[in-house]
Amino acid sequence: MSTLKEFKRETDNLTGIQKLVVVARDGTVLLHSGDQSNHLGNYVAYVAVTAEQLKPYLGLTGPYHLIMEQTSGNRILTLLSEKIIVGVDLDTHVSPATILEQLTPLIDQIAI
Amino acid sequence: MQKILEEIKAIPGVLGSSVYTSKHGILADNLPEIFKAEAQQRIGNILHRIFKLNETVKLDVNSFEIQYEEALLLVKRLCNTSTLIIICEPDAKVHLINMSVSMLATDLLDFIDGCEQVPETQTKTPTPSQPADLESVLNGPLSEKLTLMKRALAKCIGPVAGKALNNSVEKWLEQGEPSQTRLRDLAEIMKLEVDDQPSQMTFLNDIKDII
Repeated sequence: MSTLKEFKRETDNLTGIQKLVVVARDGTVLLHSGDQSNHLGNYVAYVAVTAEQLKPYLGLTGPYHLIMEQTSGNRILTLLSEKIIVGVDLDTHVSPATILEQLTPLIDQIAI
Repeated sequence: MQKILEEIKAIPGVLGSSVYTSKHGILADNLPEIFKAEAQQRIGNILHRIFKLNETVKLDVNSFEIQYEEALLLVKRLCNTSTLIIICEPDAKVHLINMSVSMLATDLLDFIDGCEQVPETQTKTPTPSQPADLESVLNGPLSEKLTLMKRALAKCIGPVAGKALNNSVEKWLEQGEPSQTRLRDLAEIMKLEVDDQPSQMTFLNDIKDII
């Protein structure tokens, strides 16, 4: 298990992350780096809940992550775990798959 | 439209797709039969809502993907009122699908009434300068005149004049920059906070030397 502080330290070493936010399942913002507004936290919480709302209609397991692409080419990556939702605003030149690969093993270990 | 959806389905990794519009629901689909019409309608409605959120959160999301264990959902905004939903195999090659679909999505627009294409440029469009915020305007160079206008309004509507001024200034800022030359426009907005016409005239008369 790792703490949110340790998680932040790990993510600080990753390049291409403009903003990062960790939100609890009840919508509480637990951690954010970069811009201090709550927009990203609220947004990723909303899209995560929406993806979960679809489950009964789709009959699928998950969801595990979402990648939102903006007209500018910037992407927002949302990762879901049992207790938290992590939102990452990525630089245009960064592959979401690379960040996903690095963050996925970390988020399941976070203790809140 | 059905023919285009068949072409999308022919792309490796695609299981089927549907076109949802907020006005008419599902316009066409070729999803596997397990997705009943009612479920598709609900799925389309829920997914389309994510694009509606753009304005609120000041984002311009035009497509997204959701990874589930058994499938990958690709969702593309065709225009403000319609969305293309593609269900793929979980390990589908998203880049390949996106590239193929972007051409076909343009063709789909021809079949949807009142639908204009969402720009898919990768270059940032120049954004207009940020509108001034309420606080900075109330405390800025126009503060004295705004206070006088508020007092004049208070004569007509009482203690709610402060709140009414804030609302009016916010609307005013949506229409342009805060400036002395635009105070008449602000007065016209503030006037609407007063119910009766004689009081509106009194208000405008009181502030005629300010604006």
